[in-house]
Amino acid sequence: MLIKLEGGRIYDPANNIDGEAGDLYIRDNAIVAAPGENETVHRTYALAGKIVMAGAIDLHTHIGGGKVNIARTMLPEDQRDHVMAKSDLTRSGGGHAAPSTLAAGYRYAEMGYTSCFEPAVLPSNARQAHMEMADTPIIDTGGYAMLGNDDLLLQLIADGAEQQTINDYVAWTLQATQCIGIKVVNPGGINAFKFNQRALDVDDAHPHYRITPREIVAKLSRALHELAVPHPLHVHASNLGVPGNYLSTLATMEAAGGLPIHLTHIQFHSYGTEGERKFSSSAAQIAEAVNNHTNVSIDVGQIMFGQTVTVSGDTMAQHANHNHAHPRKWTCMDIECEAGCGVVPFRYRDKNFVNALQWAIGLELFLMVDDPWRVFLTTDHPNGAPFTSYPHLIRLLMDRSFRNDLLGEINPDAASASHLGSLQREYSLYEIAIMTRAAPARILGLTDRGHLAPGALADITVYHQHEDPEQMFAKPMLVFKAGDLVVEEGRISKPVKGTTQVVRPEYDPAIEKEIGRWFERYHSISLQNFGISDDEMAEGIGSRVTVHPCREGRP
Amino acid sequence: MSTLSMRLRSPLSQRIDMSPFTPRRLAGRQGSEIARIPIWLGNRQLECGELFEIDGVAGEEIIIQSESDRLDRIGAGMDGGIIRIEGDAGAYLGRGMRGGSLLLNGNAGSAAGCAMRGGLLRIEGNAGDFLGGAITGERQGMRGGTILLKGNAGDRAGDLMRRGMILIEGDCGDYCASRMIAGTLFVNGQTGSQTGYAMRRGTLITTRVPASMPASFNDNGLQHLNFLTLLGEEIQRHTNFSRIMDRARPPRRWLGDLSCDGKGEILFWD
Amino acid sequence: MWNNKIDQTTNAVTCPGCGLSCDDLKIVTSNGRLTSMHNGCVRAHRFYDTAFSNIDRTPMIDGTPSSLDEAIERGAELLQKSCSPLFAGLATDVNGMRSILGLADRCGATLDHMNGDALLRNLRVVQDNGWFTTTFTEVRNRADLILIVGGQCIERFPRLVERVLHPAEGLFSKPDDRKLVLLGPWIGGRVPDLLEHLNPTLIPLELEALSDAVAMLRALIAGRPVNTGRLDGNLGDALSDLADALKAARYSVICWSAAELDLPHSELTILGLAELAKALNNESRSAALPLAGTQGDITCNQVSTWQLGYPVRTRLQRGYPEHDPLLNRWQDLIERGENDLLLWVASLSSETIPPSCDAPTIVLGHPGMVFNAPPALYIPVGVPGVDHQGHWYRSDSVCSLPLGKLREIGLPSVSHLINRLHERLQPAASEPAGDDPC
Repeated sequence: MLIKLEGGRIYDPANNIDGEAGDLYIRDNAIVAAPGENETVHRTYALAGKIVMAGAIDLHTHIGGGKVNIARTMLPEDQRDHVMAKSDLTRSGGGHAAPSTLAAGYRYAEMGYTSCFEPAVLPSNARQAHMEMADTPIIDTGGYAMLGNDDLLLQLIADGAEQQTINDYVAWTLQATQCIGIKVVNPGGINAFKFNQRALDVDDAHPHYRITPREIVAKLSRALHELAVPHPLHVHASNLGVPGNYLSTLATMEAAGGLPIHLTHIQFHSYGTEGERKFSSSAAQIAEAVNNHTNVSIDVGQIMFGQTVTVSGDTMAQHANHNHAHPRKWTCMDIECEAGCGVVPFRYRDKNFVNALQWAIGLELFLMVDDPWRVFLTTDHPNGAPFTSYPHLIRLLMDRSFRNDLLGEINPDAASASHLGSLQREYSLYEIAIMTRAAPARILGLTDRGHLAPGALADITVYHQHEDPEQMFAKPMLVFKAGDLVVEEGRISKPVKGTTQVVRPEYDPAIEKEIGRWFERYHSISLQNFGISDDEMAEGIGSRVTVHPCREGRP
Repeated sequence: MSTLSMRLRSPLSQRIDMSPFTPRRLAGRQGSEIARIPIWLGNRQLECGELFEIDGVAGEEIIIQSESDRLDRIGAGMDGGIIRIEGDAGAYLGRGMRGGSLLLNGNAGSAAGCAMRGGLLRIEGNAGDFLGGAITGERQGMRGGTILLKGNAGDRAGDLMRRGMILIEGDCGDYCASRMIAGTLFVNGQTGSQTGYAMRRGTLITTRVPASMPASFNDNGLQHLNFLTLLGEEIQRHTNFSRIMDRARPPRRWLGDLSCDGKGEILFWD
Repeated sequence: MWNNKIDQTTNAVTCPGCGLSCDDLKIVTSNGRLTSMHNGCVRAHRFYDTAFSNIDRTPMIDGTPSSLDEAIERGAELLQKSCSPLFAGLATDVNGMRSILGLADRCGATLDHMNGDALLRNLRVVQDNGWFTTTFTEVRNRADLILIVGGQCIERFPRLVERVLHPAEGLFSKPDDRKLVLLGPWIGGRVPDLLEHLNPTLIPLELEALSDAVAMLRALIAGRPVNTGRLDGNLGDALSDLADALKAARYSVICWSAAELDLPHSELTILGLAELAKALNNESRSAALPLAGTQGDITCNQVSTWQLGYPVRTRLQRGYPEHDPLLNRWQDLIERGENDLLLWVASLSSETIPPSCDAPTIVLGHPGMVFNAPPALYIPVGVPGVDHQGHWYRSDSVCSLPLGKLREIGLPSVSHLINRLHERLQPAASEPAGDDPC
């Protein structure tokens, strides 16, 4: 079937199209070139004056995995207060800070998102992350496997293993866990906490392995580069949340030695120690570093005021912060000599100095990083705020006077401690399209989406023009997923199933012997049951795999 | 005073949610309109009038006549007026109520008065477990108002209680005042085993020695407590049982639960 | 192992016989019969022997043999007219549970697992307070002190010592140097050999005394002025010593089986254990290891939580999930006649038969089930890990493991059957039917 989207204003930064009116054609699941004269168009959507973009891509959102389920379990009140009744087309569910998988899928789609990525996949339990994502309707998904706190790797590094060995281990992990990227959370720190160490800075030696976070970041970022994996090492840096941590963040950037590196939810890592309360914004220093280092990309992790839950692999940080839990309950876990997690509900208050300044810092970062291709729009859902706050965040970036009005309502000391009020910049629609579509696709190596040229997957979002960006982005007119019309006027019209995006760099299978020996001596799961096959993904997990190519021309 | 009466036509197998039927929510509505309010019975919706015979005018008072123990959430969230129940109530009687009077002449099921914030809940018969308790996942239970129970309570009365007063004329089951945070719980009769388990603060007064208290409670000795006089007066406003005030002897005071840094007190006469 | 074809010898078989979910079994079959098994414990043998010796696929309608199509028809009929269906048992794999949740949404059912009581004892702690837990590989390699509360851990988890407590070697703590403390009903009882060999410290007490012991232990660890003399005999001193040992440990682990702690309000005792582990983390490292995972309870719960937002004891009658640990207990619902249909799913054991129930019962059960009275409908189902592949959760809830397929004799999976039942249902009417039997 051939569908025509006629006359909309197209924002396709990957192809340098900035709001020009034009037509798009969809055949089956793809965007195709304009048809010949003898071809019938079966359905035309008249979109004059409407805004057309590729489907949005969220490259960092906690939508699947054991710790998200812990959050749901721990917060029955979140479910009670936000019910989602079933409809003719949709299943029931609920939740706001910790939505059920079906609620998450519907809401993302209703907001015009078509691909979302779980950043903290536990290798031993990658199945759960993928199962939850498989049960998240409509959107395509993928995950980043967590390494850098697994005892196996730390031992390899401590033993001075060759970079090639580490590369093989990383590549093997990507295949076994069906992931598209590698993430490191508080490098070495989650592991150190198991030895009762409470802090680990970038150049501190791990109590047992005597290696540093810097070395871990260096080895892993080099591995991904040499494997030609498109997505750089995705780093949740050391000392999250600690005043003064901007120095650790800068050091972490340096640790990549000029290789590509992505620093995630960097707002939580941009704190100084100035002022009476010894808590200040170092967004300027961080933004400057990002501007000056083109190998660095970031996502912000903006906080929004209100009740949410922090869900993180960083057991060290979460345990340190458990007294700030609101409500006062919390869970932590040490996991399989591989990782950990912490789930701490939290309420950000606009009248609280620290929270208000955190809000301002996130916005400062957005506005001071120059290159929209290297900064991504996230709230680290749900850690900063639920993802349903994205339209509001977009408005804050596009509408200076709205932003300044809100700045006037937060804790006044925090407002003074930030120079947000002096930042004039307003994001354009084109820049928003870069930040939420073109750039995430590029940095994940997803050449088939994030743009609207023929050959692209027909993941398309059409918005009504509205002078209030929040309203515009909150309720798209039409959302197409792989050519299916899945949302009309902000409501689900056809629940479909997405696929799981992966990369498969090559590796020497001999690494499995070494890994197998470790498993046999120390693990409680056998190597044969660790890896997930494609058949298992399709039939058991319930999501077929889409393999994306590694970069051409390996170094 | 205008009164609306709702008489349950016949016994129910499934439970129904009575929370739409409070004086404030029904105020000004005609009987015929009330009869059309939907009620879920199992997985179907019926109209209120199919289940209840409705008479009178919605105003300050509602009378519910029922022989079923499956009417849940009667008076939930009510914030004024009077609801009288002739018969039994199901679970969550007066859940989260904020004001007004909720008067039951029969027995209540589990979690009566749970998360209550204000008003008066009075039960002539017995109550089930978790009287004045908490909603699943919430960090506090009852946080205001008064519960007066003439009969016996089940287990876990006053669980996570944060504020308010519970007066029980009869006995309590086990784990009375479990996890209590603050407030006053008075039991005229006998409390069961592990009274005060995980208590943090608050006062439990009972006229008899509890069947048992956790080993992490300490005997603080006999105490002359002036506040008991004031408390006695308060109690007498609600009920004419005041054996507590007839006792000339000082009560014995136990402090705990030290398993959780508890500064709660259990007072009784031995 | 997720195998694509059935081999005679299958290695790395995941055994769903208990929550340990040992995945190192080697099973040899021949012509659809089990000929040998390596690494299986007594529970594994029971599980696989039962599965391999029960092969009758015949559905029964009111005790009379029928075809599968007729059975599906009958099942759909019963579901269609039910006003208050209860889906209980729920002993199945991930895909079975996914299908069940879809059908439950469609029918407005209430859901509870057969082990709901045990599950909720732990869940209430997570819902109200949260906890600090650990997993098997961590314990293997790191624990230097393990406290086991209760007396049935070996009976319930036969390979616990070899797989978790005392493996051949550990990365950071020598298993031989590990201290084991058994706090439980050892009075007059024999400690299992497997534990006896580890030179455990015994603190004998009846389960009823556990709530006091845990309370006392918490107070002792926090250094509060409790009177240990309030406990019988030497218990107070033993607990003082235990408190010291826990504080001195580098990585202490506290284990219990919620199913064993079958006493009223034992969730408060479990809360005490969980808070104890949390408190120990102020100065040292400690974590809890709740032992569970039998009859697929963790599996059922995980899927329910991610799809509905809530664990079991959730009803979907009003079109959205409502969770109520007090009111949605399957035993109570049946006893009080609140359900008008029972769908009982029990694919892992032939012994987990449904309770007797006034309402008609549909059983999707292990082959070879013997009932006191024939249910309205019984369809023998495939056993996960024997008749079909699937996924299954381990006790520590963090590892989902693949289950393989060992034979093909035409037994349909729970998932397949539920999907067929679902397809047979008429679209839900938006208005209630005229002569409503409710």
